[in-house]
Amino acid sequence: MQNSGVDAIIRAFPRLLNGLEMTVQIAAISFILSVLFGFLLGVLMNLRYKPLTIVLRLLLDAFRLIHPIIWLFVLFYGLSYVFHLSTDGYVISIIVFTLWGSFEIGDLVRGYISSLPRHQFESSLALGLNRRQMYAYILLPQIVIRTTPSIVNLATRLIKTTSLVSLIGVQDMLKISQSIIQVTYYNNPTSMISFTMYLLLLLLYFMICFPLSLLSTFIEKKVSSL
Amino acid sequence: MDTDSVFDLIPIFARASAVTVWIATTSIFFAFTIGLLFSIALFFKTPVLKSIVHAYVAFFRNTPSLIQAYFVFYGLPKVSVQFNSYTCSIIVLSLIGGAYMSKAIYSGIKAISTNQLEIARAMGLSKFNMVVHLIVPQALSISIAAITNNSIFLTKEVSAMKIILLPEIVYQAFAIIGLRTDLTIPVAVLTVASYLLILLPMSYLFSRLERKIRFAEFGG
Repeated sequence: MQNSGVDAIIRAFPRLLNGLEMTVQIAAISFILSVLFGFLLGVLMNLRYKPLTIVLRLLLDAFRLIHPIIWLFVLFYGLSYVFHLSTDGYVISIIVFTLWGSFEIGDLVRGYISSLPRHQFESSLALGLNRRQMYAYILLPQIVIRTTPSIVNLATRLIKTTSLVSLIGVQDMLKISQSIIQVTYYNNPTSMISFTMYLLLLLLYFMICFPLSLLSTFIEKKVSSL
Repeated sequence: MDTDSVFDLIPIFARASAVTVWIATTSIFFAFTIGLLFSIALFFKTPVLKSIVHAYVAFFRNTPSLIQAYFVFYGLPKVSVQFNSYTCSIIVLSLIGGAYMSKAIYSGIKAISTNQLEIARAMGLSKFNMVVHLIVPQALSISIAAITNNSIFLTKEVSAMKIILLPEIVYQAFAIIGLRTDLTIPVAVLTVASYLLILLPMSYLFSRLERKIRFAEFGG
């Protein structure tokens, strides 16, 4: 008998919610850390200290050109092989997404700082502010406002990309729904569960990411009219 | 595989890179076509098509490519629509890319001054001529940076198609490590090297293309 698999999904729904919690947790922790480190990196990239700029630039390109899936896999298998550790997929995912997000935000902040008119730096120094005060009172407030739309946009990308963690064994929403699919097939080989389950997942991710995209466009309009 | 298999790995990665390049170019081509057609549809505000395009763009930009691929590869066969992993990868990547390209090219179209469009209309240019001679060349020139960025993004995204058994670079890397953990380091190095060998020339070519096209726009 053809079976849509809806009953299996309803039965397993609490487990699916645990997976959602894991997805949100990884995304949220990496996002918060990325914002903190990202602003720091952005400022560091603007210091006119050549060796540092070159190293950060190379790392930025590395994270831009190489897909997070490869970073996850290199760190997950590489670290365990080199240091004979048992790597935890959860920790590795947070590390990879934090690094990825930090460099993305870092580059946004760097781009914005270097586009600020020169006189802002000079006037703040002329007013007798030191470097720390210049960043805290003059530059940072502007940067925070201007980069917010892109940072919110990065949050949606982060949430979408976290589905990769299922590949290194983290029990996120995708991994759990796959085990639900397997169990259902085992009991009922004609079930249509892989159709219904993946459709449900697409809708769930859409329901999380779409409002964030709208928020990003909304903030962008607000900011550009400032 | 025997102990001197580090060198045996190179042909495997060369073949896998060829698969990546082939899938990427095909998908970029289709994505660009979809993007161009849909952004023109958005420009003319074609009643029903316009809302379809908006929904399509929103959907593909806000769901993970991994799950889109799983859905097409494992979900659709349940309703008797079946593709092999190559076709499936091309379909998924073209649709994702199409959504991103539509948005990029449409913002290029919006940047064309309304003045020009009014003049074109006043001069009696037909809709077709307006699209071919006025809108498309300028929109492409304005959005070329976004288009090349999306193309690089699509090439990287081919690696996510590992999960639907496309024998590309990451798939082969996982497969080899599954058999031989002692090859972890050479495999990791080869994986990264393969991507750099594909992406660095690509980004170099794209930046030259960008300069050429922008030069055509602004002249010397």
